[in-house]
Amino acid sequence: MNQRRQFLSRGFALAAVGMCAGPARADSETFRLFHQRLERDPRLSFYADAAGDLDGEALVWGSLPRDLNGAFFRNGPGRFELGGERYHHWFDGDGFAQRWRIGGGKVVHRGRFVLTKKLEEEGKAGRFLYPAFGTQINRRAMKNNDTVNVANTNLLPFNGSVYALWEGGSAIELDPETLATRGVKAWRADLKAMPFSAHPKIDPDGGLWNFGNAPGGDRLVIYRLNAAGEVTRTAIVPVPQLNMVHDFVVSGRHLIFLVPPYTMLGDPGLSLAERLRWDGGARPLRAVVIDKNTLELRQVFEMPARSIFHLGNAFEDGACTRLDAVLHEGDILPDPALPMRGEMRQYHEGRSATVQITLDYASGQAREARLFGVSEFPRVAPQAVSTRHRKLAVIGADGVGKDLILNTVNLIDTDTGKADSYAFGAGWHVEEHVLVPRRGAHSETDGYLVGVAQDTRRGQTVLTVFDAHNIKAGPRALARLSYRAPVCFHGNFLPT
Amino acid sequence: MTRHTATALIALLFAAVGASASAADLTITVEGVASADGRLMVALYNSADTFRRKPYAARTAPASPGAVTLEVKDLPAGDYALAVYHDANGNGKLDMNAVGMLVEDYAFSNNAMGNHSAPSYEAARFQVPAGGAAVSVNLR
Repeated sequence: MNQRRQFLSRGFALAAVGMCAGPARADSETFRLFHQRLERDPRLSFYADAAGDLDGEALVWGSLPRDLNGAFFRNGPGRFELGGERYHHWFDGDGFAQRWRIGGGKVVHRGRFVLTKKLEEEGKAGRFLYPAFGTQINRRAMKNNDTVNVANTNLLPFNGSVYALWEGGSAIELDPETLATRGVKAWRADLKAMPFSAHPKIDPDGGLWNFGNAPGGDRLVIYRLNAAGEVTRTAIVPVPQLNMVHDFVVSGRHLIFLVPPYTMLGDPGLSLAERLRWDGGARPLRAVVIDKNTLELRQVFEMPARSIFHLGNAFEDGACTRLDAVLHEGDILPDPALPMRGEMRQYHEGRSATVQITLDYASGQAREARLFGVSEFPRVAPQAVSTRHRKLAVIGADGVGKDLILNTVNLIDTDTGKADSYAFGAGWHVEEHVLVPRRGAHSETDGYLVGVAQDTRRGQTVLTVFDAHNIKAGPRALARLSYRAPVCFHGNFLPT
Repeated sequence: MTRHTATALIALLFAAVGASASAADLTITVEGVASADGRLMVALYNSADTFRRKPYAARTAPASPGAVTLEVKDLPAGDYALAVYHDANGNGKLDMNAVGMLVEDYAFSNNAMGNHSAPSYEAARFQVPAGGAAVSVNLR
């Protein structure tokens, strides 16, 4: 009881992150710097503000596969600027949901802001009111975590709807046809305003695993939903120092979380990003393994300190579990803030790598094998989730020039470490790509790799389609919009 | 721990009921009521010491979408602060979810909000003169 009370208190304190006094710090200086540098460097358009509704038919080049039909739902931060001020961190922007409909030889694009209460209130006020992840603002007090829900991280088609997902609050339900916002989703009456992460995993039976955590709450919330969207199991697992968990993986028997060593500072004058202090000199990266049957903690492995956002997939291998992850040396969180004020991120060989981690329960050791260099946005084929996989798609950087720009598409063979790669070259900035299996696919490469790339020289956004078995041949089809669509973090393809 | 205390207090916000007898009437309009489910629970306090702990008076009314008006009659003229929540599921408490987030609508007079918890009595304080007063709060 007492412990629960304390937990609730901590949770509530967190709900109020950023409610304290201090000047609003989304500032006109950040705005000025960005726009000054954007004039000289069109590559920065990747981080530019989005105006509003977008609708357009793309110009198709090459050969669209006849059996590639469906909707590619994606989401990312669209609004960074309001009232002459600009957010400080790439993760702060309000969600802009997008759908690329592919079929009948055509590709049609639509984009709509997720109409959260925050977007509506701030739009009406003509300026930012609430704290964002990396920008401390407190012009209006917040009532709970969903007050600051920007719904900007992923767009999940599930059970006939689509859901705009964030990390610290509820899913926001959208109409899959119009992308109009239906409202805040409570999966069950007692789960209102619960953190529901942006990286749920749909496994082969159509059900969904997800988690949530309130930074500083030291509790991992686990959700299991069936294919009909009903919550069948939940659990709360205590994990000390659980201050930043963005993604996870599911294997046949386990849920695995990689918890980087952040400490939560108490200073309420700082943004949440600023309060997450890197503690890699003192503490390890932890692999926290939860048993799917009991939803209890099975084992914790310690690894050299690295920071992490994304994982690929996991599978059981005898008495071990193997999983892929993209690890970053040191604290990666401040990096995505740089371009917000017009500074390009620097390319450093070895700063980041995609690795395969083997968790050996008997020895308690976590072993690592390097699969790929500087990279991000790992994805596996949807039919492989939680089972043995052999292919992992990542976006990489060719390392030409000093700036970090993700501009290569790669399908890694996770057994051999060899990658089938294509480089888009200068002027391109490539976003997440997802594997789309052909109907009845007999392997992970029996299908397509579909993604989006930004042509920053022309200010246009392009949908890309590769044959998954031959990435190096380049895209077999490109569908080019006449305009720039906001950059997305994550998305999912729903076949029809 | 202060946060702990603050939250415990929020949970106890609407705990007890007081009584009174005097002259001024107070009309309370609660705006932004989201649905007709359950009831609105209003607690009125008359000092910083009793604020969020021991209501001077309490009123409840069935919820109705939009605005709902309640009255507190015969109040002594003076300073007050009020807290209101929409007990949409009618369980008699302001619900929190499992990670401690408040999940029913609530508001304080002057639409005051505090740092990390409820506002101060000072921020929520309003005057009821001998001739009576009308205040409104917004649950949104």
